[in-house]
Amino acid sequence: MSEIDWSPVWISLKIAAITMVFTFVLGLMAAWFVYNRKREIIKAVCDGIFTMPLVLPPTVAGFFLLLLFGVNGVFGSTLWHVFGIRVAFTQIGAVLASVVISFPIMYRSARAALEQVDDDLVLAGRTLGMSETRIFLKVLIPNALPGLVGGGVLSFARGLGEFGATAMIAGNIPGKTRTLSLAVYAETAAGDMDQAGVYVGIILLLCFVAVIGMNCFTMVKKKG
Amino acid sequence: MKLDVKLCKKLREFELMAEFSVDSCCVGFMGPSGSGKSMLLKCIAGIETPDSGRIMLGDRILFDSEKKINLPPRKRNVGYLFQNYALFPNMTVEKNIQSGLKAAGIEKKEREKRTMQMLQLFRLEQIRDCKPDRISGGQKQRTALARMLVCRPEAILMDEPCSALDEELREYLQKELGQLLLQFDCPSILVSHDSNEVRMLCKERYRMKAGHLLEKEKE
Repeated sequence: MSEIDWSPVWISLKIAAITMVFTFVLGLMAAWFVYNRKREIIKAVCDGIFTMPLVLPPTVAGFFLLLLFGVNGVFGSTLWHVFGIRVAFTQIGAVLASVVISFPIMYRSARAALEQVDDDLVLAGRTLGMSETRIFLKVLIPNALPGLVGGGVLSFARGLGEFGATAMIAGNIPGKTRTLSLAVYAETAAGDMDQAGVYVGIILLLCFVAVIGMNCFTMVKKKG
Repeated sequence: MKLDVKLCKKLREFELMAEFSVDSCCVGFMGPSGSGKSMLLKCIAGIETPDSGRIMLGDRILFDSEKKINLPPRKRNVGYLFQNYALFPNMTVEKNIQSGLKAAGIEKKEREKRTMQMLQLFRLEQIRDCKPDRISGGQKQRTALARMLVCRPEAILMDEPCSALDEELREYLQKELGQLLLQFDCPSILVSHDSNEVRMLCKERYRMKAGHLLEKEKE
């Protein structure tokens, strides 16, 4: 067996961790936005838009990302010419792809978690003179925490396994944008099943630990 | 202080229509569940919006459909006691009581002074550091009352304040609630399906049916 290249592990962990932070905040804000809409039709439309990346093939999301953030894309060319930031075929692109793909998971978990908080608590906050932001921070988030953490962990795991959109916008550059799931594909395609097997094992282990960790957190939280 | 209410709101099965005023005493509304009692309270608190009408508290307009005024609940300064008390499960008894004061931007010393007063008045000092799931029904009720009253509301609304309590305790706590209410003279409204409770706590009473106020009883 040839020497194992560990770079995909670090690249994956780094991208998944950064992704989780962005996805957590964006998904939570989106969930709060939809939670606060009063008209059902607006909720339904917003929900549809936010859920799109979950139901579309990741390659389709990647296609749109390339259109927007590619070197000649609307945002991509501005970012490059004005700020000197390149998105396509860099780790920024890989994070972007992961965020877009894992966002709906966080959004849906967070919305469900916010909606299961007793409405009377929010109403009580209002009659006590609390602002909506204060109610969000002091009442909604603490009482929705187990669900929010669950969403965060699931989006971390999803970000870790992202393949399609990442391949489209970030490519598969060894040592740069080759993540674990891309490495599994590349090694298998090259016929090196041993290497691919090692990467598969690492992914299995990481995802398993993340999900078990989440369940333990929920258990401890329940016991209070 | 006087609370003047005149409102109409179309509900699924009937139209809620009410016109009454409350001086500094407790007025009771009784009627079966689904007769619009809770909706009436929610309209006054600003949680629900009436279709038309006018709600005045002293000389403040809380709601006026003609002038297009509709103050949000947090600007109405109306206390609301929820049926299940709606205590924040993530906060201790003390933090629950303080929650409205922090929002009002009252400084720390004053906050602590007022909280202390409430903890003493409602005999909650022993359990100030307990979370709501660790305290009894009566203690929950007193915590909710303290949390509401510490903000010094100009009117008090109570939605079935004793229905979440055990039967044996209920009568005792109704009496206690009556005693406590005497200390706060601001317009208050109590809503209950239990007419004995309303008779015990309120000198002025209305019976409600399908969104309409029926006869008024007065002692």
